[in-house]
Amino acid sequence: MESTTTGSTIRVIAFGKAVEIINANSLTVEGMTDVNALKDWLSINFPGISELKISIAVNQKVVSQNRLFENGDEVALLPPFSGG
Amino acid sequence: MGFGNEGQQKLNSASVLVIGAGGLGCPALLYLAAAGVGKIGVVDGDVVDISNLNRQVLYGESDVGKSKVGVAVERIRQKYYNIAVEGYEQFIDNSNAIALISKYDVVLDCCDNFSTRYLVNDACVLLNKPLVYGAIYQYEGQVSVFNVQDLNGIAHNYRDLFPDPPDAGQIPNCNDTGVLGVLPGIIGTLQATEAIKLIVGLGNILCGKMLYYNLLDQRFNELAIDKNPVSDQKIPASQIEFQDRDYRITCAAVKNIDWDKALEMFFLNPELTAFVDVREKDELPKIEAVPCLALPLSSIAQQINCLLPYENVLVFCKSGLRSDKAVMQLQQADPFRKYYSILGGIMNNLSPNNNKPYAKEV
Repeated sequence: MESTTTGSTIRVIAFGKAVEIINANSLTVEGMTDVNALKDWLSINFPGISELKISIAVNQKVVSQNRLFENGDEVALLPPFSGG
Repeated sequence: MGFGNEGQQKLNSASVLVIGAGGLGCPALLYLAAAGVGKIGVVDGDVVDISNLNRQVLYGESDVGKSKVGVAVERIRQKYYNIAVEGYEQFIDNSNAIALISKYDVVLDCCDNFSTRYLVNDACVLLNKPLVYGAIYQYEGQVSVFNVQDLNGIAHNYRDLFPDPPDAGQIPNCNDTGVLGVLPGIIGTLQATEAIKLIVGLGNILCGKMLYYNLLDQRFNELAIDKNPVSDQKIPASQIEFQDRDYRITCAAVKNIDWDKALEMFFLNPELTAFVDVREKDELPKIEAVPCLALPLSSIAQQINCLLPYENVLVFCKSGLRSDKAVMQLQQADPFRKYYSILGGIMNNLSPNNNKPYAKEV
């Protein structure tokens, strides 16, 4: 079995309210194994994120299930918008 | 010559329903009408407010207080006498949605709240109706076309992206946060564009993807939508089930808070935080330690405008029961503030009347 404990370096891009919560349009995160690990990391470092029902896209594709990261993956945090 | 006579004919014989005559709906309506869509319906129960005028471009200062739908229909009829414009001066809900949507070929979701978005999404899925979705948040907007098959033959809907609605009050609306008026102008115009393309059969439709627009960076991003395995179960199985589902409750759960957290919230941001006493006027003792608005539960629905200046609304009563009910009512009437029901009311040991060192003495 390949070890994934070291994880990957990914670029996180925020949309909508997520920009305010992480206080940046994007950030680079190291040592991230998969989507679930990123969600955990975000909820520890940016508690406001877990209050939003965000969706996540990896490399411009929305993912509804967990998946492993590779180095250089671009991960978008997509909170819902309601305004009109 | 664009799409020619044939395309124009298709537009003339098409019908489009615009849900919401606000920031997105106004530009969408103007362009749909200008394009010559033969029948246009517009649904909204709201009246024009002065704060709408920076973005709701169908209305002017002389329209303040008038029905949005009334003014919108009149304007379009003045401009184009040969378009059938039908106005519905009501909010769409699960009792009227199926009947309304059934009458039209294409639906535009131009509303401003999650309850309506989920309701319209589900109704359009059940009726297999193309839905051109648009929404904004501060400096960003998003557009997609639902219930139209993509190149792989898959039709997506809003629940593929967001299976469940967020908690009420999580996302503020435009009146609270202020948007640059052109943002809904851009997004509403993109919605009209997609509707016209769909009707005419022109170009590539935004189905199976969500287009994001960022006004600050003038940047577009396009994300592919995945069919979410849980989305189908979230949609009512039938029209009867749809009519029985309470979309408002689904979007609103009462948040409780302790007195110490409530006071902390107040002292952190006193200008934007209100304590609301929902007991009747003669009930004692009053809370003296912090300013409180007295809005008895029996008449709170009529006094909801008192809360407009606040972001956080901390509701209390004697024991915490009426404050729960009040929060339910408030969330339904105006889901764009954060409401909290204070646990245990003034009888609670932590209430400022029972617990003196509330005032952050160091």
